[in-house]
Amino acid sequence: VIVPGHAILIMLIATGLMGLCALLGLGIGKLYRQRSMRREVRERDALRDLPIALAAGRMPRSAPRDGRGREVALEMMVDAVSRLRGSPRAIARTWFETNGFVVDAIRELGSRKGWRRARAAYRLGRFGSPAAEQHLVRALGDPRYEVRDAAARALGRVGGPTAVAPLLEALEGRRVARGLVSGALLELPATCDQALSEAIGRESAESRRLVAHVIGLRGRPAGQALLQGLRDEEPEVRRESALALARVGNALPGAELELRRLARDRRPWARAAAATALGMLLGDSVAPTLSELAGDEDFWVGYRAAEALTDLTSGAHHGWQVLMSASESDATRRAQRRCLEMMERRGQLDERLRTCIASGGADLDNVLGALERAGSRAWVDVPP
Amino acid sequence: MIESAIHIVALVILGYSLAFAVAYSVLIILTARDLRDVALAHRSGPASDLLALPHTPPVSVLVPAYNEASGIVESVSSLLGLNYADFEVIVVNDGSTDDTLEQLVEAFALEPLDLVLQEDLETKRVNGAFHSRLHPQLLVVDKENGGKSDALNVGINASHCPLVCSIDADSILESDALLKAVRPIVHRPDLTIASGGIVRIANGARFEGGSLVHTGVPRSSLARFQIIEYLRAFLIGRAGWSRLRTLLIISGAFGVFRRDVLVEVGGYRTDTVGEDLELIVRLHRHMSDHDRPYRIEFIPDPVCWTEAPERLRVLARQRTRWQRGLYETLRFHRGMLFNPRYGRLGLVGLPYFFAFELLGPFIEALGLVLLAFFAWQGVLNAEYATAVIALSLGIGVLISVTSLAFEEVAFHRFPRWRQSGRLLMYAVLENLGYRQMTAWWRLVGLWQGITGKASWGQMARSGRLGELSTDVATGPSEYWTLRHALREVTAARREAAAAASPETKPMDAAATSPTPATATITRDSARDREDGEGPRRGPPGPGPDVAADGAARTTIRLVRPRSLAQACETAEWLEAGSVVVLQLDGASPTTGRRIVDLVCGVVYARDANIRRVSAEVFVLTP
Repeated sequence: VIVPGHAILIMLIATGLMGLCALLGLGIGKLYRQRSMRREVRERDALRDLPIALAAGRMPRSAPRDGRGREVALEMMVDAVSRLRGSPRAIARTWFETNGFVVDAIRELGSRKGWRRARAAYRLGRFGSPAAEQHLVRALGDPRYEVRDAAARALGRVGGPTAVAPLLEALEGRRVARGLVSGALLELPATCDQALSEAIGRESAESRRLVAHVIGLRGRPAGQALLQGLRDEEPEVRRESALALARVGNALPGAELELRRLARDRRPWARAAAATALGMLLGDSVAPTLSELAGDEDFWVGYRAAEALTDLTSGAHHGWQVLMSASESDATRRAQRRCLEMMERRGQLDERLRTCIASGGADLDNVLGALERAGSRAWVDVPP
Repeated sequence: MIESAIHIVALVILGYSLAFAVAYSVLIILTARDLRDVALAHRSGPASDLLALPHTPPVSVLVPAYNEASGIVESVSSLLGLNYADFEVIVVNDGSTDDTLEQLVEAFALEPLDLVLQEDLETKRVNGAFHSRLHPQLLVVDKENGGKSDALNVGINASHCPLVCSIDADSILESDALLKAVRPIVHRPDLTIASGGIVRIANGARFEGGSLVHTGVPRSSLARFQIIEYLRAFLIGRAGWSRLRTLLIISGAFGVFRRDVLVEVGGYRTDTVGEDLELIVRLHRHMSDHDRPYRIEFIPDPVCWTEAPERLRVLARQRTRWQRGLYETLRFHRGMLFNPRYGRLGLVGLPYFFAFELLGPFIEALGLVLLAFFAWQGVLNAEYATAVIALSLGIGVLISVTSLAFEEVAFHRFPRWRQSGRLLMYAVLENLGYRQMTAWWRLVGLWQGITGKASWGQMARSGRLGELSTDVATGPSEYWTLRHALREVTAARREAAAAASPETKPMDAAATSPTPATATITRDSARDREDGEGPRRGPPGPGPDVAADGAARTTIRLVRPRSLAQACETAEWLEAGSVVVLQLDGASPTTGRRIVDLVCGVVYARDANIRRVSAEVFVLTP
């Protein structure tokens, strides 16, 4: 006998007991789950009229005062609200407020359990009550990242102009990830445009960059903010501002000068952004600049410029003339090839060629010369 | 003398089982804390909330496929229906000998794509690529056979997304799987480098349109045993390890990784069969070696369902392979074992794997042999032996039952009493035969690993982990652009290589040059050499200048005939090898038609090509 027999016996008994515990846990867990699921189904059935009323645009009856039914009603309504748009949201907001859910959630935001705080933050965002804003701003400083993230998303849904600064501060303090902050800023209502525009003057370059990006995504003119962004000392901010300007489509006086300056930047990504913005904002007058950019050494700059040049519908002819100049330089060759491929890609090559031929035979020789020099794959299978 | 030695061995075995029980208890306690959170999974909003974010990173789903003709179409269609904002599916056909590729081509209307892969990782030769007109986010890459790791590396090369997701061709993802797996990366983009979820057995479950509609207990008893095994491994093992921040396995069946980090560590290793385990260990090692903070996350949410083998031979092969992979991984990284430099991983995680996962079957077999020896010698105390055996079985059953209980509390996927009862029965039966059987296979795997060929050498590059870049828009519409960019960059690189060493072929040409196997691709790639450089074909040595001359010699002639006679010129130019542009605006419609007829004849006779560019313009090439 190596180990005393009774020690083995004790261990055996212990194992058996633990096994019994596990079995009991399994059984009780199953019973509990089955019962609670049945009850939940019953309760959901009883409360089904709440989301239906909401979807129909009526004020639903009030939720149960307490008990499980209240929780179920809340879950159903939060789920419904996340799927509905427009006036039902306003109705739901009143419903959540009058039934005391907003107060409850704000109280839960001070809970000791992290998941409760995160859940409360998420719900406050869904309720849509602006009263929650200051509490959510405070939750941005929570020690748990789930809570901070949920609060940031929620602020995007209920926040007003005063939410912009705290969100950007959370970004600057590395408390909330960039993707979540930009999502929140994107969701803020139109009344926040002014605050967002002012945020382009913030100290942190990361914030300025994000603000320019979000203004572009929101797609509404932001006054002089983007122009200020174009004049920013940080090249990344200038680039985001150029792209945002292109998205917004607002040709501010003075923007052209800045964009042309950006087009001469030594960083390729800045030049690429300038090409896109120039093409989107300004007409035929920029065709020569764009054709120059199309021959850029960097692929992306050339690609964006070719794209912009192809998009200049009225200026296309002019663009062609610039492009098809008989110059033999490497840059021209590159530009020609890129533009031809872009047109081929868009299925416009034939049409463009027809326009070109219709406008006079002299052009055609140049075009063919360009095709030859570019070795366009679209047309001519040049044998090796 | 012999007796005392045997006694010592017996003591060691007993101590070992005790240590095992203690280790598992700790894991159970750790997991129990985690499972409470799982039960409240949707605490901060549903996963679909992430869909709306502008910065949710694009993901490439990599599907390595080797002889998967039977199920590949189905699994790819289910992947294409994933609930995610921006993703692509890259199927890598690893030189299948059956008609996997043909099935794909037919089902998704694939067309050859002029594609130059990035060359971040070294791989076997790629034969070509296909894209689908029906699904712009589907890409199929065809390559020479090189094993799963190699196929995954090709997939990484082909991917343009900041995140890649590796999955098995035979597993089914729930439609929210990607969203759930990407979540930790979105929330902690500066820390999280990988995340993986629970893999469960799909046998007995029913799926409709990519989502689970019913879970049941499968008929095959082998599959039932495996259900217990998987529950134990994922619910107790991984959740617990993840809590200790020493997660060592993200199953090859489903894992999401940052592409830049994968490239940095050199991708999957091709000289091991346990590539998924090895990769995670290497990620840990790499990040610790460079003192970079990182997280490898485990999502305790069943997101991936995989088909378990129901035939003994297949199962045996799988288990032998796993054990061999484990052995190889531990051998590659034996420097980490008991190394305080690697913290918990070196002092707890890897030693655990070494002692219990690697040596487990060995000790178990030793115990059985010893038991038989004692019985044969007649020194066996029957009561005592029974107690010991009962204890070891009891511990096994206890662990299995606990994992079943955890499943019940956290997921409740087997709602009926009968289902639970059956599984419970198999949790007991598992210890009477099945476990011993797998122990034998694992022993065989261990032996194969030890006697197998050893191969060494490790790629590791250093760098800093920046924030995940989601700036590059890589939506399906942009794929064309990106591939195009790569073509241009690669062409420039080749040009430079050819200029530098005109006598030798550039190295990278081998990796991307097409084979005659797919004729269409060959033609496309020939067109690829638009700059006129030709280092891949023809006599060695034509620098770019020579080749450019060659291209310039081909002239283009414009012919504007007014009558049929004038059109004869066309034939002469074609004869001379020129490209002819035929413009018919000067001729009457009738003459025009006759001219075209004539030219078509010439084209046919000369085996040339004709293409109509607009109503009145034709291009003829010899």
